[in-house]
Parts: sequence; structure tokens; C-alpha cells
Amino acid sequence: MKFGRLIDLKRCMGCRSCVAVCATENYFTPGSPWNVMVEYEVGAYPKVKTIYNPMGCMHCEKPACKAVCDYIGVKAIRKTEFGPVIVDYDKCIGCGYCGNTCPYGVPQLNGKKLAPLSPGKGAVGSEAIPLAARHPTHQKKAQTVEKCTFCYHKLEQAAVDGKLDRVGKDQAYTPSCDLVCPVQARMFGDIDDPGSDIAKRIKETGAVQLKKEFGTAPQVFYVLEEGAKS
Amino acid sequence: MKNAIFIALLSALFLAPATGALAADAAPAVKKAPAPGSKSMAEKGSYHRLHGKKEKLDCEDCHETEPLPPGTLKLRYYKPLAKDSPGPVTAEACHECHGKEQKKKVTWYAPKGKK
Repeated sequence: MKFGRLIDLKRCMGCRSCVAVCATENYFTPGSPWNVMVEYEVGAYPKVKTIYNPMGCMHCEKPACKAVCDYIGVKAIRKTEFGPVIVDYDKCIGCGYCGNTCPYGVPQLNGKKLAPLSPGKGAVGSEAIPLAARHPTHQKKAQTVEKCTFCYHKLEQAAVDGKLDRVGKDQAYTPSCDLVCPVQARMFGDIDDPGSDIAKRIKETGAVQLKKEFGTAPQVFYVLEEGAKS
Repeated sequence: MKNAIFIALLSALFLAPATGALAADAAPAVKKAPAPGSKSMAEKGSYHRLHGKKEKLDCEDCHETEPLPPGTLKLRYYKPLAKDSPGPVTAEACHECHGKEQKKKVTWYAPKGKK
């Protein structure tokens, strides 16, 4: 079983619901986003269009971030059983090598002080949970790297509940960004199972991974709009 | 006796680097972990020491002289650069020398022996 994501750029309209829900679910540090909307135009006047490309961690099969972290002896990044690449905040030394090495520039060094998500407006989303009660991926520390976890707290809960078959289907076991998309441009599930909805849709649509030339084998697939970068 | 010493010296000079290179290909050396709270890569200037001083590359070999164009598929492309920064560096620039097809390939892009 290996979880992956499919993002259909032909459907995405750039509403940023996925970005907003990630911010509250994972209360990522302002300035160190886990999910961003890359936006650009293609074509020539009068035939121009905007491409909306949501980007988060690609959770690569051979993650460059992990390779370089292991190489310098820190070993703060691990590839988990079901696919997510996770940073251990207790081990991270904040050197920034992972962020520079990642072809997608995903790992974010969060700064000397953790800033609240909405300054002056109190705790938002998971921020309201006491630090010790939070999932380890939410027990963030200053001067460490943070990034998308595929909502690992939900996947782990699915494993504990014996409901891994419900990942991608039930709200409690599916990454929040994939739940809220109003145009169903996102899908999450077991990409190892050829009979799964996501595997079928990847095959049907000819979805591709971005920047394949780096050889990191990302687990996020994109249905590319005509003219979109890959 | 002199011959034996001469042969030993020759071995040390020529064979050791060769076997060292083979060993490096087989298993990359793992460096000692930096201490927690130590200076960041940018603060230490490790990359600059290696690429600028040792390899004698020009700034433009790695740094883009223009801001990254809109739509750069990089999560942090919009981040403001540090003061006096010569320009952003993309992983694509690293890949030009360190890609899997290149001579100076590194283990973090397409590990050796794997597709």
C-alpha cells in the first residue's frame, strides 16, 4: 500500500481552498507554507489562459531531502511505510540542506520564532490544541524545517483504527486539502492498487509527475493543462 | 629492502586513491552530524566555500541574475532573497553538474544503481 495524490490542473480554478484548509489543519508557520498555489499564464494573445498549479510536498519514493539529511549524518527525515516523507523536529538542526536540494523547494525553514497563523486573532485550528496533546507532526519547533505531511496524523489514525481502506474516502482519514476541493480536482488514495480510483484515474488521464528528470519518483501526479510546465 | 619500500610507496600513491574512489562509489562517506543549534548552511557559507573557493565557479554559474519567472515550479520561488544576495539558485542549476547523467553526480538525485 502506497498513498499518493492526483491533482487535475484542467479542473483546478485556483480558489486556494486547499491552501487555506492546510493552513488551519496544520497551522503552518506564516512565511513557511506547506501548500502553495503557483500561478502563471501560457499562450499568446488572444489565446491566453492561466494555469493554476497547487504545490506541496511530492513525498518522493527516493526523496532528495532525506538523502542529503542522511548524508550529513542528521537523519531527521524518514520515508514512512505508507509513503509520506516526515521530518522529525527533535532531530532537525535547521541547516537548510533539504530545502536547497529538493527539486521543488518544498522544505521550509521556519525562522527563529514560531509566529501565530493569525497574529492578534487568537489560536486558529490546530493551534488551539495544547502542544503536548498534538500529533508529533504538529509539535513544531523554531529553527527547524516543516512541510506537508500528507496529513500524516490522519493516515496514522486510519492505521490505528484498522481503516486504511477508507483513506481517500472518509473525512477523518483523508488529507484535508483533498477533501475541500470544490471542483474535485484532487484525489488521494492507494496508487499501488491498480483497482483503486486514483490508480485508474492516473491511467485514464495520463497524469505525470513534475520534474521527473531528477529521478526522485514523486508520489504526486498531475493532469496537465495544455501548455502547462512539467 | 629498498625495492620493497619503493613498491610500498608506489602502492600508497597510486592504488590507494583508486580503491578509495571505488569505495566512494560503493558507499558514500557519511559525515559526522552537526551539533544541534549550529549555524545554518547559509550562515556557515558551506556551499560557497565548496563551489566558489574550492571549485572556483563564478556566481552566475549557480545564481540566477534575474528574479525567477512566474510559474517557476518551486514552492519557495516567491520568497524574498537575503540582503545583497546575488540571485536565487534553482535545483535545476545544481542538476546541470550533479544530475544522474553527469560526472559529478550526487547520491541525492537518482541514487546509483537505481533508475
